[in-house]
Amino acid sequence: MNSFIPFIGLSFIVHMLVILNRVVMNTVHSVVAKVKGGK
Amino acid sequence: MGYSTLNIIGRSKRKPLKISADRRVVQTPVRKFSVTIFIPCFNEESTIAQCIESCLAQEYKANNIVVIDDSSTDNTPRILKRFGDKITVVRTPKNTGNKSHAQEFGFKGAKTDLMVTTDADTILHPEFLGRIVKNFDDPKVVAAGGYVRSMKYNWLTRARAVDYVVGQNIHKLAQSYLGFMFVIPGAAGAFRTKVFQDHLTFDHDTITEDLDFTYKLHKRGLKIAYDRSAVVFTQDPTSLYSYINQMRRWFGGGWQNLSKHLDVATMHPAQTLELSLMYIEGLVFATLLFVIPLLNITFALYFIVPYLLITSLFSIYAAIHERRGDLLLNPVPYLFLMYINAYIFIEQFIKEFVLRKKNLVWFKPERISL
Repeated sequence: MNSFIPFIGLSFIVHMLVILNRVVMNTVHSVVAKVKGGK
Repeated sequence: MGYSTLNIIGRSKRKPLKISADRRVVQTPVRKFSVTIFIPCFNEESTIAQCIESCLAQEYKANNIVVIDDSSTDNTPRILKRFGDKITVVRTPKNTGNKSHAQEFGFKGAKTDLMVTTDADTILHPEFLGRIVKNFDDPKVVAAGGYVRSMKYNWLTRARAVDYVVGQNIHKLAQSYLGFMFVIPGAAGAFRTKVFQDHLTFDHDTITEDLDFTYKLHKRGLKIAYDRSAVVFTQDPTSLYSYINQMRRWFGGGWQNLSKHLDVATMHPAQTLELSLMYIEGLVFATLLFVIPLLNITFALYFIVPYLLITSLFSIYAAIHERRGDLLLNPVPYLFLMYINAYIFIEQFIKEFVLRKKNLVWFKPERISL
């Protein structure tokens, strides 16, 4: 089983939010690290 | 990553598929783990040689490549002989008729640190092994799943290619962030041998053993890595008949495993969320697809038109991601296949989850020569 074929709906929205959250958190962490590193 | 090192994606019906590794772009990874690749097969004369060649062409060399021949009756044994001592061939005394039986037979002899599973209709990217093995640098990781790409053939494989892109770059990626990767693909899976031998048993009571293994690892709270850079190319069904049978196996196996491992759904909030999204939403969506047109055809159009727009966006995304313009032709056939998927999803829910009519018969789709 390579991929459980997803239906488009709530799962898509939830998963996009999870990915977006990860991207935002990573960006925030890297900015904070840069600011701290600069001091 | 140099995907173009394999001339597989751009394959047409007429041109033969070529496999050649561009060694300039790949550095040999540091050897840290010993690895055995396992390839179960039954009557795979049209694809097995290319699969083995791709295993032998890995930058990170496997210590052993074990082909588990489930008593093939075609030219497969002769083809395997050609590879001599480059591979180990294990032949079952008689045809077991099921991939998991063949795997159980062959896995017994695993002695390396890691075991990698793939399928006879699959070709590994030359960097696959090096990349999947790297995940085990983290001592907590007990298993890893790679990224599956569909070989180009016709409209059905086109739809499947879009499914894989969306499924693996959105759904599976989010699942891995939540710590609940739904399934380690059998075509691109890797396990610590010790963990596999200690925790995973072949129960032969479901038709999708890779999903069974994944649930068992989740039950024990073990860490599974997902690596999108570890790529394999697989042959998907090229006829509607094969497609329907494969979906019956996947969805049927999905429902079998859900009823077998229902406790997984309540063990962790992420698991509850994922399984609810997968199965409850799946049932609601599949039912709506059939019920809404019966209630009101105009309202059905309001449902289908946005759906086509969304699938168009997915197709554009997949076309860019895979660098394949033909994927832009996907939306209308995709809608047709969605109705087939929805029907099979409900059918298998009734058969496997409600009536518990366990179907364990393995269907092997036709293979196209690589």
